[in-house]
Amino acid sequence: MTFVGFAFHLVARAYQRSPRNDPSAALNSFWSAVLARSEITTAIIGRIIGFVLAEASRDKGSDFNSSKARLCRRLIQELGREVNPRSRVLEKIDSLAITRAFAYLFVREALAPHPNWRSTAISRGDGPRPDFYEIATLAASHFWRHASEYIRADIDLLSEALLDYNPSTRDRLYGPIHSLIVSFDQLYELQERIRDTERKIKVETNEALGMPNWDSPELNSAIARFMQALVGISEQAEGSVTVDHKKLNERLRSLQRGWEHLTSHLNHAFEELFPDIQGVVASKWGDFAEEFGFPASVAEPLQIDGTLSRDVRVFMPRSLVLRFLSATLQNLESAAFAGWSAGDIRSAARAHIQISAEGLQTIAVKVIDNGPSRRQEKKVGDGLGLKNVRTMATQFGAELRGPYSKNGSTHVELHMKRRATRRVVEP
Amino acid sequence: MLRRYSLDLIHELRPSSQVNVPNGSAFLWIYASKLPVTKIRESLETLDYHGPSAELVDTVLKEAINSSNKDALLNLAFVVCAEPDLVAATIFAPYLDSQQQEQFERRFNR
Repeated sequence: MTFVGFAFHLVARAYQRSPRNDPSAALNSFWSAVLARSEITTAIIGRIIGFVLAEASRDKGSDFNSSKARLCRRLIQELGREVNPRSRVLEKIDSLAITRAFAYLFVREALAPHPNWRSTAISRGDGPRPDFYEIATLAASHFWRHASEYIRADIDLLSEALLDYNPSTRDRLYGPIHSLIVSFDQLYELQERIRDTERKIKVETNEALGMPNWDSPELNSAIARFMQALVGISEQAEGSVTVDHKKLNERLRSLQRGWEHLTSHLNHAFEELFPDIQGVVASKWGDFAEEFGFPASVAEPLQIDGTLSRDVRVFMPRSLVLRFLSATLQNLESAAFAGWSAGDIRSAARAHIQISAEGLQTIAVKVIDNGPSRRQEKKVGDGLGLKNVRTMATQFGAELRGPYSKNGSTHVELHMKRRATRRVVEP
Repeated sequence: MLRRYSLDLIHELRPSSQVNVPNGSAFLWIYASKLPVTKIRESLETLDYHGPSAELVDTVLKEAINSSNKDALLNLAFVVCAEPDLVAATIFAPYLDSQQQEQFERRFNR
C-alpha cells in the first residue's frame, strides 16, 4: 500500500501540473504494475479502491469535481477496462482470475453513485455492450426459478470443498467462485440496463416505467449480503496465512442463507421483466367490460394462437403491457365508440384481443374493435398514452403498430420479443 | 463490498501509537527504517535553502531509482504517503514530466 500510495500521489501531482494531458497511459501503467504483482489479492484491490475513493472525496465531499477527484474517477474507470471480462480471454481460473473478477465488481460499486461514468466505464470492453434482451435472457437462465439450480450447484461445490478442507481445497474453490462472480456480474449488468432504460424513458416521456422490484432496497441488500459472504470466502482462499475454519464456516452459512433470501426477490423481479403474457392480458381483458362500463357482449373471448404454450413469456415489463392495454381499452371508451347510442353499442359494438406468434421470436398482442375509423376532432391528450407506450416499448426491442384500419376494424398491435428458454451462449 | 475495506483503512489510519510498532504491522504505510525517514522528511522541507538537505534528497532519489535495494524507495514513498503535499517539492519536478518519471515507474513495476 505504501508503493501504491506513492505511485498515486506522483500521478496525481503530474496530472495537477498538466491537467490537459491524457493520464490514461500513466493510469494504465499503474494498474498493470499492481495486477502484475504475484501477491496481489482481492483484499488488496479492495483496499486500493477504498484508498482512491477516500482521496477522491477528501477535497470537496464526494462530488467528484476536483482535479484529484477526476483523476480518481479515471483511475477506477481504467481498472474497469483493465479487468473487464468481456475484453479479454480467460486463460485459466486461478486466484488472479478471481481477483480480477472481484475487481470488476468493485469498480461497478465504486462508480455506483454516478450512472453515466459507470455505464461508460463498465460496459466498454473491446466488444459492443451486450444486447439488453440477451443479457436479460442470460441472467434469467442463471437465476430464475428452476434455472437458479445453476447457482445452487456452484454453492454446493463450494460447500463440499470447504467442509472437507485439505491442501487441494483452495484449487477446488476457484472454479465455483469465479462462476458465481460471472453470474452476478450478469445480474448487475441487467440491473444496470434496467436503470439506464428507466432514465431514458423518464427523459423522453417524463413518466416512470415502473419496475420497482429491480432496484428495491430489499433486492440490493440481498445481493450485497450474498456477495459479502462470497468475497469473505475468496479472501480466505487467497490468503497465505492459516485458514480460519470457523470464519469460513460462518461465511458459508451466510452465503447459503443469503441465497435463500435472494431467490424470492429475484423471482419477483424476473416475473416483472418476463411476464406471462396470456395471464396478464386475460386478467385485464376479463375486467374490461366492468371497468369501462360496456355491456359484456362487446368483449369477445380472448383469441390465442394455438401454437403458443400457456406459459409463454415476453421480454417486456408487466407494467408496460398493462399500460398498453389500459391505453388501448381506454381508447375504446373515449374514441372508438364515441357517438354510438347505447343501443348500438349493445347490439353491434365488438372488440377483441388476439395473442399470436409472429415468427419464432415475436409475440403480438392485437387489440381490434369495429368502432368507426372516421376522423374525429382531436382533443388535448389524445394518443399521448400510446405515444409514450411506443417510446417505452422500443427500449425493449418491441414495436407498437397502429392504430390502423383494416377491413372496417381498427387495430392496435404490440409486437414483443418472446422469451427464449434455451440457454443463451455467453458473450 | 467496498465498505469493509474502507472500515479497515479507517481503522489502520486512526491516530494512535501504531507508527511505533515494528515493521509488518497492520499500519497502512510502512517504512524501511525510522531514522532515514525522518531525515528525508526534514530535508524535503528545507532543501530549497539548505544545501545538505538538497544533496540528501538527491541521493535518496538516485538510490530509489538505481539501487536494487528498495529501502530508499520505500522510505521516500512513506514520507509522500504520510504527507502528500510534499510531492510538490521542487526536486520532484523533473521526475513528474520527464523520462525520469518513466524510470520511477519501471522501478515500481519491477
